[in-house]
Amino acid sequence: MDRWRKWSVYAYWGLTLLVLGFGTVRAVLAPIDATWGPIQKLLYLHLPVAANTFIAALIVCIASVGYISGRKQKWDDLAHAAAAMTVLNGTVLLITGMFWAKISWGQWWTWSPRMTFSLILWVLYAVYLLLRARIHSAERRAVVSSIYGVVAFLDVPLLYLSVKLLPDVHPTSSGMTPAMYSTLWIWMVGITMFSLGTIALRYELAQRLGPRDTAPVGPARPAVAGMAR
Amino acid sequence: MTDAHATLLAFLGSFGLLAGYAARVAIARQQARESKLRTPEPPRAERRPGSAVMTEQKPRSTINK
Repeated sequence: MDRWRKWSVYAYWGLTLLVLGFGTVRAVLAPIDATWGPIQKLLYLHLPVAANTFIAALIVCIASVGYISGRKQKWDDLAHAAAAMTVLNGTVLLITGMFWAKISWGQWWTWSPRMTFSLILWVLYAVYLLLRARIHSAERRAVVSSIYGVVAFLDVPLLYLSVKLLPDVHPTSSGMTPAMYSTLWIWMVGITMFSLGTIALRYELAQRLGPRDTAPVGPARPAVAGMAR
Repeated sequence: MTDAHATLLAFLGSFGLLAGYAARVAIARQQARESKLRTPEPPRAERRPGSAVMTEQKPRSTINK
């Protein structure tokens, strides 16, 4: 059973790398957009990480509700793993967006509604991680962060509505050819597999370490360096 | 820096972040697994003074004598 599980993890990551590798080849070979030039290829990464930021934030919200209703540690572990992925995807979203902004509009940042709400989302989940690091009691940390996780998710509908309702400088994808669309979908699958796989890895790590109180000061840290809960 | 260079830089930087994080989690997971293998299992019944586990039992051979 353990061996089967080990090989299924290897197969999953192998498939993920294969999809991402295929996506990279397709992105190189895909036609260059006449309006935007080569920077349009960033869309293949930018859009999937945006979608996966929302997915990870949704997992944080669901897991937080799960913890509040059942007080089971596994939900808190899942929320923590997903929150880390939300911040990571959000970072990539902002970086790729800033490169696009610099090349397309000549400046690194514009306070457009979509970019502003994206930044707020990133800050909210970065604060979530910082908040966890500052609370030393394991149970208190889980309670506080689960309530915060539900409240922080409120930014996602705001971001979605800002896309639909407010005027924005963001380009639309209407000028994409079928080859560009298929490449985008390959990337969407690859990045989603990567994101969910990493959440699962981090969740499993938290389950192995178990709930623990952290020391308020001093060098006392969990056994695994760099993975403080 | 041309547009193509900027695009490549953004791709590589993003890939570096994603892959770096995944590698960090995978290494920490491996370390956690190894440290668990090295740590001996704790005894099933914790022995506390005054508990039933600590109560000495007479050898059976002396009961029927």
